[in-house]
Amino acid sequence: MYKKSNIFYISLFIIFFIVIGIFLIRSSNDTNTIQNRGSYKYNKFTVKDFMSGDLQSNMEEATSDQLPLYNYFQLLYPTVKNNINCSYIDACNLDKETYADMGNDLNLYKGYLVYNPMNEEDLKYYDNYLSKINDISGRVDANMYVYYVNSDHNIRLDKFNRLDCDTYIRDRLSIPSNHFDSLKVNSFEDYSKYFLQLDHHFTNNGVYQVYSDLYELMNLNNKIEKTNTVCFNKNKVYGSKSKTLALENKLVEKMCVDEFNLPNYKITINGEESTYGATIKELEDLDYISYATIYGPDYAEIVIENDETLSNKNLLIYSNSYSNGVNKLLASHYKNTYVIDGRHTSGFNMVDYINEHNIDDVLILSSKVLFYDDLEWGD
Amino acid sequence: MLFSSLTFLLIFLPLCLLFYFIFPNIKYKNIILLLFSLVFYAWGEPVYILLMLLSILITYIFGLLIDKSKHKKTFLVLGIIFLLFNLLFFKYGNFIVDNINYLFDLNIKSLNLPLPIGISFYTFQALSYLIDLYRGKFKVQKNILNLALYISLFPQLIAGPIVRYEQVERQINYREQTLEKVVEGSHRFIIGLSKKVILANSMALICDTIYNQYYNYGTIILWIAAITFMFQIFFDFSGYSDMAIGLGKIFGFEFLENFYYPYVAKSITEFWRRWHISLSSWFKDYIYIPLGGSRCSKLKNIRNIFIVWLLTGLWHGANWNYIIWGIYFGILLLLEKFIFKDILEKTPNIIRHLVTIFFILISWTIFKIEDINSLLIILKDMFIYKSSNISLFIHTNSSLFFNFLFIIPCIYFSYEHKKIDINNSIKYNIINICYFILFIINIIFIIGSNYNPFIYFRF
Repeated sequence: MYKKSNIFYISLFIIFFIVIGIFLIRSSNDTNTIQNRGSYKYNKFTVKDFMSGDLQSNMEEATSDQLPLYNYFQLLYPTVKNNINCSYIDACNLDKETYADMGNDLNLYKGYLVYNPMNEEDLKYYDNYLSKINDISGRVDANMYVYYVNSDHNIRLDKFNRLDCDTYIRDRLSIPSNHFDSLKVNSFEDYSKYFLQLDHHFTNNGVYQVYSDLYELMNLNNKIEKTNTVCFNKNKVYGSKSKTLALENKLVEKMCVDEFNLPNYKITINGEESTYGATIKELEDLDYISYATIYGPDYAEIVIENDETLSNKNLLIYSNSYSNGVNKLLASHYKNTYVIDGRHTSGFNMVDYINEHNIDDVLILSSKVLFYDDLEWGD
Repeated sequence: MLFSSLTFLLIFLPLCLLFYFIFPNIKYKNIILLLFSLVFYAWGEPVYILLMLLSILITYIFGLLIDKSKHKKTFLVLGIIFLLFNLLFFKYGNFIVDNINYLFDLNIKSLNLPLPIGISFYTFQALSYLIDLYRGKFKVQKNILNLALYISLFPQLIAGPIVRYEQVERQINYREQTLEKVVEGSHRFIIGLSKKVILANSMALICDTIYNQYYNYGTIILWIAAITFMFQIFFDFSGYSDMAIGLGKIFGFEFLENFYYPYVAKSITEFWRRWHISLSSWFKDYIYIPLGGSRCSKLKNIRNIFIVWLLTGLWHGANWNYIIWGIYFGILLLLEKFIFKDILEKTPNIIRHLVTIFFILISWTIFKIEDINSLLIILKDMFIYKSSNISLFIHTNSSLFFNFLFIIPCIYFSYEHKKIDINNSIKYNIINICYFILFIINIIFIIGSNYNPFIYFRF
């Protein structure tokens, strides 16, 4: 009965699985733009990974990231869910005085999308990363600096419960204690000054505060001063957090950018000469702006050459997107600045890199996001 | 590997179907199914696959011994002991040691063994094979690959239903494979997947959110949690059974139904005729009736019911709450049978139905909360009124509103409805396309919702 209909029905699935299969085999998605990270790709089979379950976890994540139209697939559910929630029970009310769960580990608080803070026991996941820093600092002559970004990842803002990551990190680092510093967030006012409402990155004030802290930490000279601040009201802000929740159109914020008189750099991105970050004029022409469009997106390697400085020192910044705002500011103090984002590199060896590029200072900068990563570097 | 994972739906299943249907010969098809079943199990349990293979080997050897030897009973008992030892050691080892330590103030080192997924299901299948073989219900399976396929067949391996060998004995070598069965099976699989991914997971998020902070909530919210868990466990468990039955059908097998609208029951006895039918009938056939069932003195009948429900509780998990849960049902069934039988018969159906649902709700609360202290607090707060700040609950959990909407389909699909009359090919095509779209919606839910709990790891 209905043989043709059944053949048609089965054919639908066959075509679907063939299309999916082609995309999964190609694995050509490099970046997950929804979650602002590198896309998972299928790891090679190893017995060790299989026995530990890592291979299985990787396959599930890579399958999600390598699907065709993954960005639509990943956003469709939160789009429907959050638009219904915001339309019918006022879930997007910006005046909330306590954390209001928005799903995907995010809460709405006083107009800010903030993460659920980590627990004290989660700090043990930093140990691996910290021991790598200690190991490398013992094997190279360069000065190692560590800068930790305190954020909603370790602070619950409505009750202002702060997990003391600074002490935990400082106690476990073998570099000189004055080579470690952090972004101090002592109140919600500090947080709202330094961080964007809908994104996990810094505001212009946050960028400058981090730069100022690093200027002191690394004993630099000739601090770069702001010349102007421009705020964008008409552009919609493309925030990582609002994007995850598919609420870019429901939640909006004003975004400001500082202007500086920076040297004329020669910038090389992944081996090709390029520009990094946007000018005010370029930003004015955009419909959407984001931290990445202002300061530049994430790349495996950015090299900033500065011929206008008298310094002959070289800097290596090992970070993720948190450093994007300060890369060019710090570069003004160095002859060559190398920025490495471990999420986009493969087989990066920090010790070799330091030696090959005559690095004098190494800066490791991030929040929980980087310290949680188990990246292969410096082995 | 979970049925509701992308790895299963987009990689494992298409590959399995591809290889399965490439081979025309049933022997090769069975080998393919066996290989994929072993990969399926090893994917989640890379070490405990050896334990399952050992169980298969033991079942095979003792099956041959029961068949050939004059001392059939001795080999049956030995086979049962071997299989039960595996189950007891891995499932109840930690529980027994912890309780001995507690009772006698000892400090015996806990075994800390992770529970092999599905051990209760495949052990019960192996036991039924040996017992029914001893009872002469079928001939011994001399081909170890066929026996391995019966015990490890991936559709019913980790969440049932518990399939009896006599049900599939013939199907292993002679089963009808038609396009209609493949389509029907895929429909059933997609219905099961939707129950799990769309309904059960939506309910799970609500009840887990509440139970994770139960101490902050009052009576009304705790009852909401109980109701949502009632729906979660039904749609999760029956969803898995539907997927198993559907997959079985795609491969040409016919498995018996495992759930039949349990929440329409008008008594606890009726509920257990509709809930996890393969388990209830297993205990009935292999424990209750051999003990004498109800054809004995009243006192022995009460004993038999208690033993069966104590074991049913223990089967669900190695924890005191499961034992309490089993005894709770044992008591309810005894009360229904010996005290309230006449009253129940005179009570209007709607009252009987509501009373049954009430007791089921309590039972699922006992089932869900493993920590006895927390359980007592929750039960106290459910029955002794504690005010709930509902507006604060909505405010702080506004993302749950969307999930609450799924209570409506949960109620709807808990009751039986008339099937759509398909009398022309246009209707049939539309329904087929709806199933395909429903499959895509499930994929979207799996990718986007980030909440996909697996609740059978204790079984």
